[in-house]
Amino acid sequence: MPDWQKLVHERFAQERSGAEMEPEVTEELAHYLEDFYEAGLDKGLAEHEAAQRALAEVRNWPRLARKIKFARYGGEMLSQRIQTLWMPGVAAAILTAAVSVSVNRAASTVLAGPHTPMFAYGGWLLILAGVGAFAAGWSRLAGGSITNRIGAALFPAAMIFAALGSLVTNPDLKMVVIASVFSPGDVRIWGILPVIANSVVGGIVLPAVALLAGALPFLGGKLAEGNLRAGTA
Amino acid sequence: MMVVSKIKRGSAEFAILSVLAEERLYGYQIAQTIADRTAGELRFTLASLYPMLYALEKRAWIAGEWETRRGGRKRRYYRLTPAGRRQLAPMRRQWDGFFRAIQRLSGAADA
Repeated sequence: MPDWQKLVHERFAQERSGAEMEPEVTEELAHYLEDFYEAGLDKGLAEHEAAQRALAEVRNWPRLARKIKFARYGGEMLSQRIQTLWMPGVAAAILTAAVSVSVNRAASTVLAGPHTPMFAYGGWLLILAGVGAFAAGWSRLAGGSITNRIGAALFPAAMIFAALGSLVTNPDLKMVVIASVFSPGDVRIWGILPVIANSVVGGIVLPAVALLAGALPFLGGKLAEGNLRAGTA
Repeated sequence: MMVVSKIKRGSAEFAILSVLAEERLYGYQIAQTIADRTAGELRFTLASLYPMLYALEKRAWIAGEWETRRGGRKRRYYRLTPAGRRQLAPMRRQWDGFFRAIQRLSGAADA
């Protein structure tokens, strides 16, 4: 007879979140499979066939693990996500907004000079690396998974992306796009494409790289014990 | 799609609570009892049964308890709690009403 407990344990261990299923759950599911297997033998099935039928009760083990965890710890999992993703992420976004306003003001007043925009931008990126480190460090301290730490660190970049995206709904910009479609000779759209590309690279891609670079030292390390149980990913 | 999913979930919860209202059963027995009584129309697999059992247990509608049977075999038996029994009565009325409504619709369509 197959070792059902070992088998269930192994199937759950394949889950990518790295969270272990509780031994009590593993044992209970193993007993179910054992009962199912024995019922198959009683019906005259060969051992191999009975085992195959028992295993067919679960097609997707990682999905089952997620459903069981949600059923047992649904509330805790949500609260864990708030603590390890949303709170550090929102704090990092607020910090980024404050830093951006401060750097912009300083660049246009105190530090005004010919190369100021370049230095101000470089300094802003360096500060963003610090913000990324802060968010990922907070998430790790709260027991966040690597995905949540990255998510928290990249939160400000997502906010900038959303803000830039809202520009597309800007009526003036829309008119330029519409006008370019109806007047192909007048290629005004090409005039603003480099501006858009520049905004995407300078406003989203490079800040995201800086945030991620700051977060890198905080991506190592294991989850806290309590979070292993809840299995937040 | 949403309605179908809600009906499935609702009927599955109702089926589990109904069989546990009569006797204490462990997981495999619950699945078998439901399959037998519905002539195979409602069939639980391990993957569909246990998330629901744990969700019902978390809501304190059912309670599980390990017990060692003859031959030293351990099984986790579930029983309906007083809170679960209170849920079952209105559920029965709702399902009765739902099926009567469906039958009326079906009858009207056939006529």
